[in-house]
Amino acid sequence: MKPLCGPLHAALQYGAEHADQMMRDARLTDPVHNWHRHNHARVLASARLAQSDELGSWTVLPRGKTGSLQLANGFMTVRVLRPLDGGVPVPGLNKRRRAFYVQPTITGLPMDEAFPELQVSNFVATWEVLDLESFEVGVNVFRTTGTFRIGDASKVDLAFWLPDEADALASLVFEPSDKGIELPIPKEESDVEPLRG
Amino acid sequence: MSSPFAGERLRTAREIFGVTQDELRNRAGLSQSLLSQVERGQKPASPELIKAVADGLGLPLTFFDVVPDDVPLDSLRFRKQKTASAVTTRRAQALFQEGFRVSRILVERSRYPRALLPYATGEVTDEDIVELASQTRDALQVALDKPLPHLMRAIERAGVPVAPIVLPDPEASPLSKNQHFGLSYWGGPYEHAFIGYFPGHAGDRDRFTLAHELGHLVLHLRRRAVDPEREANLFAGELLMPFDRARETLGMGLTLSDYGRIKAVWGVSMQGLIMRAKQLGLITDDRSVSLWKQINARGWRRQEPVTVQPERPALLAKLRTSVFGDLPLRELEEELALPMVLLKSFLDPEPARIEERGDNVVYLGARRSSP
Repeated sequence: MKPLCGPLHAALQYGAEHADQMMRDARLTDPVHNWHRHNHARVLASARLAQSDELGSWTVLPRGKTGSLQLANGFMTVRVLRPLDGGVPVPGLNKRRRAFYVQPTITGLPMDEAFPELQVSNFVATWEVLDLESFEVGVNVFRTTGTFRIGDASKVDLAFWLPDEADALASLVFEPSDKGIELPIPKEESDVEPLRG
Repeated sequence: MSSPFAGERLRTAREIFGVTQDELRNRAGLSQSLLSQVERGQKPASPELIKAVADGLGLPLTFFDVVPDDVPLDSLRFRKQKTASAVTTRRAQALFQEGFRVSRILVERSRYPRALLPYATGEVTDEDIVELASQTRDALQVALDKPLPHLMRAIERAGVPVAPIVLPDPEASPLSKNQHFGLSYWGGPYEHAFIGYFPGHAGDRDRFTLAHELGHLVLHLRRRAVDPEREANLFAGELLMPFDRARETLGMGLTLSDYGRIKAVWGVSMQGLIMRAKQLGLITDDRSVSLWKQINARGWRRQEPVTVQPERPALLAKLRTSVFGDLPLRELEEELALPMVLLKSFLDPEPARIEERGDNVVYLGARRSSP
């Protein structure tokens, strides 16, 4: 999912910022309109991601009737949703969505994306605005293993926070180099007598 | 007979070690009123008093024979924040003056080339500062339009020794923690120049401090400015990233990640680059505000991603070898009239220990949620 880190954060931040402006322009700032705000944001993010050339082998799947945002890489799929009480949203009654949630539990410790079961997994990514001024977003990723209802414990065998580009930047270093900058110290023998105490 | 400057040196010694007259009275076993009278020149310093003070503070006796350098304190350029304490500022000034003195001895005895930098006179506009920064790059013998790979070494090559200013008491809070950044003084063309900086900051901040102090040397040698700090900041920005390159590199469409990548090439902080882009009119006010909000939201105001490794001075260590061969520092105490702990900080400094957070760990539990 590495190629998704920067673009997904940037697209959701862009979507959230512009959706907020749209709702303000329409004077729909009451929390009752939050669903529309989030839907606008998701649509805008989806459009921006579809135009991105930084997704590597990931593609944005065509939006369904609900305007859902989904990305796929081979048999790996990520569905981007709003969180429910900070956790995984319930699948609800929609059969296709319920089927998306159901998959065999991974055994062992998947340390990287080469883990074969991850290559054919469905993931739920939840996003939320972390700062209402900057519209910085946070993205959590879950691998579900079955359906569940509101109030039940979610069925998840893998959960992680998707880093944004800060982590990519963390590996960058400016290393000073004085190669070729010679200090013109006068030669001892010819120019100056070394002092001894 | 004691030096006529013994009283002034006594006060300098107290300032360096951060001790009050009362504390010195305890350490040296002398009366406070006597110490006060000697410091004010109302009584001569007897050899016994000098010996007691030297023993009490761990100073060589020659420290009190030194004729103080005529570095006027009011012309010392001091890059610090307004919250820096006055006591610590005096300590930093006293240490700087000792560094200036020792570096001058080494430069004179080794016959190292003196600083020959451009300098401003009369009225100076922002355009003049841009031109002076370009002339300074020329004087430093570095490319006029490329990143500076090692600013400190280029400054040293141009005849300006650089040294970290470190408090002698190891348990003291570092000067970098006290909102101090740098100090500088230049006597004029073919005269001695010296830049002191307070280690412990990120490498990009040290580089900006050096460029800022160099700006003071160039801009304020022969003139008094209404706002010298603003001028030095402008000079530093221009020296580190010349205008033409900034115009090519910094623009409206850049994200924070882009600024991070530029930082890794130019060794200038992301915040510095954003300020420069705004200052040069390359980004709008709104874009600037948006970028600053993102910086704040990510906690990057205090700790940015992209490490700029600190530069380390080399000139004074080489001059020491040139002048004194391989004599250990202990044997140079009397000669240079400073205790070993201070000589070490100037001539054989430890690698800087970064006081700011050095990691980028983000804890999920600490992240805020929207309501």
